[in-house]
Amino acid sequence: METKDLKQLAKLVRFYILTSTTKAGSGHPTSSLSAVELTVTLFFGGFFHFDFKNIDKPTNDRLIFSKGHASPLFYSLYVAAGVVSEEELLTLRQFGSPLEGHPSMEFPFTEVPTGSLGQGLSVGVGMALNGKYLDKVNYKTYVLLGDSEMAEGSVWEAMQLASFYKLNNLIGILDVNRLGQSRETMLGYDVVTYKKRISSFGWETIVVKNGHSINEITRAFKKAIKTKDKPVMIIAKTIKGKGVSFLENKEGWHGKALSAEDLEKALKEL
Amino acid sequence: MNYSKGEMIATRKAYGNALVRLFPKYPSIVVLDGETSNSTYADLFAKTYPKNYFEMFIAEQNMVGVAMGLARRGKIPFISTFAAFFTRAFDQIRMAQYAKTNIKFVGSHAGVSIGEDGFSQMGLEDLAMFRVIIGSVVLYPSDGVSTEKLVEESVKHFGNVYLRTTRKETPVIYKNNEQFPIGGSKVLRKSQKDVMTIVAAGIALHEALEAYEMLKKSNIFVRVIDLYSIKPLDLASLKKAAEETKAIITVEDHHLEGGLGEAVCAALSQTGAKIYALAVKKMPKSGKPQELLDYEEIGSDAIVRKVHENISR
Repeated sequence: METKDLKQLAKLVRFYILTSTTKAGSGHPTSSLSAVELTVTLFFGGFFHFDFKNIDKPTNDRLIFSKGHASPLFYSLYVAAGVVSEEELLTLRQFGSPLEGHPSMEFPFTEVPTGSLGQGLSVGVGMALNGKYLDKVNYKTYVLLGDSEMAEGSVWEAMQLASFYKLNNLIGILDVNRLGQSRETMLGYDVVTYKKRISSFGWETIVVKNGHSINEITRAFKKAIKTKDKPVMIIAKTIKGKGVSFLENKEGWHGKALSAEDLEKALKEL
Repeated sequence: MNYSKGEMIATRKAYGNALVRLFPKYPSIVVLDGETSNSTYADLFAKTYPKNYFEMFIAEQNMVGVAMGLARRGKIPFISTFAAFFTRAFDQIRMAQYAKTNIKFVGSHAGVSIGEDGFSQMGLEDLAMFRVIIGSVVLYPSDGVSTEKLVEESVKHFGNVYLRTTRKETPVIYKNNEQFPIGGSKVLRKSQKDVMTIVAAGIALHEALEAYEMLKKSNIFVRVIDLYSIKPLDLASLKKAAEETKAIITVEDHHLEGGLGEAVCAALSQTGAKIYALAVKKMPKSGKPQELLDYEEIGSDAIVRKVHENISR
């Protein structure tokens, strides 16, 4: 898909995130909005190889949303892919809906339930080990990480082991949107320090200065998939709440859905 | 598999033997260990099938996460470390229940009976932790044969299983052809004259058998049940024992809360059975295994005392 089409798709995904969370009356729209371009480019920019009609296909790439609270984005990607209906998306967070607050096994595309932060990269290591050493299948494992969860020790446990096993089929995408639940993260926008720390754990690192530039993200993925003998972390500087002026880079909006009134204002901006 | 009755072997070693024996039949098995493989005996597998063994180093949270990833790709991960150290990965274990994975957790060095190394190495909360997981199976074998059989039952069962092994060598008490279905138990001593039933598993079962011999000398007979399947429980055998004998004494090398004793109490709560739970209740310390079993009042002497106490009532 071309850049201009990906841009359009990103708008559509933003529309889905905002409308579904407002309908649900809760959720994490701002944490979802920061990773829209990163995941839309992954999905529709020719990188993510997944047979949507055959979920169990052994060669399918794997995607783990370690930042499980970005579930509105996660589900919206499958709506954009045409495998989940818009009607179903609007059942987000309702009792009995497979679209739970954080991804669960009820949703057919969930690899593992996430939402307890700091666990997704370990799961990715397991899947990448399987691909490289056991099944010897050429799939890639992508893990979307939030910057706040980099405070979890288990992330660094996974990081060490991934480089020990030379998992070049494992690609992390770190969404550095600066803001946590209640305050700024320890490193804020200091992507240089993230890069130093992650490189020192034996990873290839690619910094994306503008995590909303589809061209820059595309270049990063192109480089990432060619890496030999090392896992790769794409460290992308993003804006929490991106696309809605009154949400962008603002504290106090974590885990809050927009009111019907605010939604109307927000949608006009897309 | 060829054990002789009375042969001394630690259940942790039988675990390693079982993996080596079972892999050709179940090639989906993958073994992970938190750099304790020469203690858990996962190393027996690592040496024989190095391509299917992955060292996880001392990082238990990550080990459980990796197992989740492997399980979701259709593998059967057997992951081992000291029972105590799984506790730091409880959040990952908790998430594994929702991932509906097929992970086999194997915790060695369970209980105060590890002895000299002291409390930091003693798994005393593990049964509680794994019992609480939705749909989990919790197994606690007492000898080489039951360990090997329960490892195989774990492979055949799809779901998260916890198997608890012991550091100390224990005598083989079962024949090689004995079967150990999940949810079963073994009545090892039984007579018409049984006054009480001792329900135990793992290392404590051997203490119970010794107590049986001591009591027999005073012409007191007790029933002894090996409750190797702590979840699910063999409710039928327990109910029968509760009906046929005066009281039940549970014995376990684990804290009282959440262990085998509480499981039995909960299962028999509607029957009105008298149940006495012997478990680790005092702050443990270093010492010889038998000294610690006696100190915590879960050794044969304590069992005998408890029986006498109840008879005289």
